[in-house]
Amino acid sequence: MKHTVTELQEKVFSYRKRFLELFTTVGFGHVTTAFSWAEIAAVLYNEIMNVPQNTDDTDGCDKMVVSKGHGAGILFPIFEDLGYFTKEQMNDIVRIGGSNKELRKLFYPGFDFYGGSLGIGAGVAAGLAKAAKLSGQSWKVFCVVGDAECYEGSVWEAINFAGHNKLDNLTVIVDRNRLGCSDFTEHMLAMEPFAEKWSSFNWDVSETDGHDIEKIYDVLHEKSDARDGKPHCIIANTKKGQGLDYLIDKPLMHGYMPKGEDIEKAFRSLK
Amino acid sequence: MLSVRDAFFGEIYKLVKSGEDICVITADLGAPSLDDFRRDFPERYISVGIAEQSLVSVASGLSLGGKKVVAYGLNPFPATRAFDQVRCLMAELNVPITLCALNAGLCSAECGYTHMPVEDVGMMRMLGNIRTFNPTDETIAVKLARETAECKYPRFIRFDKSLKGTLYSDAQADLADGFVGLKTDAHYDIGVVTSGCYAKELREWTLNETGVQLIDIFEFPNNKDKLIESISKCDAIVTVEENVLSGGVGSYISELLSDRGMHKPLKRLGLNFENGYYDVFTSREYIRKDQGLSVERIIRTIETIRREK
Repeated sequence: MKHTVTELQEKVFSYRKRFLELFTTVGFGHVTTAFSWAEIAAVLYNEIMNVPQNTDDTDGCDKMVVSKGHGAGILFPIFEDLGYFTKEQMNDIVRIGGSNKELRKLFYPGFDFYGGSLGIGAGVAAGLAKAAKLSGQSWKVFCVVGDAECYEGSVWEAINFAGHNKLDNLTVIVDRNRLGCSDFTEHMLAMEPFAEKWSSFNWDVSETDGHDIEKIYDVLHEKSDARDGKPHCIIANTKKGQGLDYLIDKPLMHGYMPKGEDIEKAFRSLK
Repeated sequence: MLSVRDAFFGEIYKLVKSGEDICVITADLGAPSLDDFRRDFPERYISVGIAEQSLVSVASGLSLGGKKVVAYGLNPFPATRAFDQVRCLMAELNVPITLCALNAGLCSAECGYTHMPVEDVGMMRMLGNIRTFNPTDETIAVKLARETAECKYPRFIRFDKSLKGTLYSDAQADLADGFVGLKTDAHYDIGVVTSGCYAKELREWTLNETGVQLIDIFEFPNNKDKLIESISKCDAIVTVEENVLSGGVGSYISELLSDRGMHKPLKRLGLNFENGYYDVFTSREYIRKDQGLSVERIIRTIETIRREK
């Protein structure tokens, strides 16, 4: 690993804190779903992915598709940390009327960053992976989908396509926080046996603790390099709202963003 | 004589044969013109099964991964089933894929309402970033295929199965204009503005009828300044189409006239399903007759408007 686990944990804390700064200022965003995959994003961008050196030089780099677009905001602090933007530049972007032109240079290959139209990203990621195979390109494709997003039939169309085409350069991480907007997934419409569903579409499936840096690194490192004729699904068991105890495992918090007195409470509670 | 669909794919084959990096991705739909492509370039012929949402998403991924992509499915499903993918990926992110759809208007009406793309033009028109084509002849279809290699914008192309052969010269089929005016007179009593099938079916009558112009819009949007110039030569306008009236050719023309502050008598002829769809088996001819859209009836309507003008 390029960083120690402690260093990465500190980064994750700083990402969550900075996310709160940015989005409580603008007054909207999806804190619970962004925090749900903060450790996963930190490991991907700091350890696993071949990321661009700057926003104008994305050729040959790994592709990232954030299909659960509501969670894409956690990437903004990461982009600062990677040196793509200064804090001042990001403050100027994340505001009503702020230009996302520079951000788009990064997310054009995939970050569904403000769409949040669920069910689209897995197919895009599969197409990217197929293009790399056809062109003999070595870049890898990563995609993060929400577990409740997998209610969308289009996700399974993409899973079927990727399995059939043996897209082993594709790694999909499912943020399995077991919560949709209104209720727990297993109350709404049971997803289990979830891993078996992916396996039956000829995917290689792993499960991990989505908040354990070391475990996330181990599984991503192993699977994203494996060329075994199967696309890779990593079911990351997470808590929606991780980092803010008062939000964890509470339905109806999907669109929550601290306002008023809650802002101080959020910063005070942040772990 | 090739259908517009086969003229298009035949040219795509030639382009790939000459080294262009084009992939064809299909939602379980073939074509005689794709048989050679499948045989000679199997790695470039990608199937997603009957899955139009996947068709557009995977095509977009291929495109973002560096490929030129022609996606192909049965209309209206690439438009209606995959509208959100079209909206988010083609319109919003400007992913420059070519989305082709077989069927236009009533050309497969015998299969029922499910297989009638009669709203697709309006749906695509609402997405300002997508250029929609309804090629009337081989010349247009071949030009659209040749544009694929360098195309930087998202396109939606609908193919009418009934349209075959050549109507237009290379100069007439100008993709920058997006429409063809049949005649070059200075003034007309009536301008008939249509798209696709009716442009072919009303052609001979128009050529023999003094004072009537026929304007075939094969692209939405098109060169509006030039189109207005053509329309301004006509005292009155009749629009004719196999689309529902909302969003189609008539809607396009009435919006254009209104936006430009032009006042002209305008009669819109198109499909009306306001009481729901038919509870009988239908065909193109049946529906046209029932809705007053047979060529003979359209001509009578035009003549009546002309007399009453």
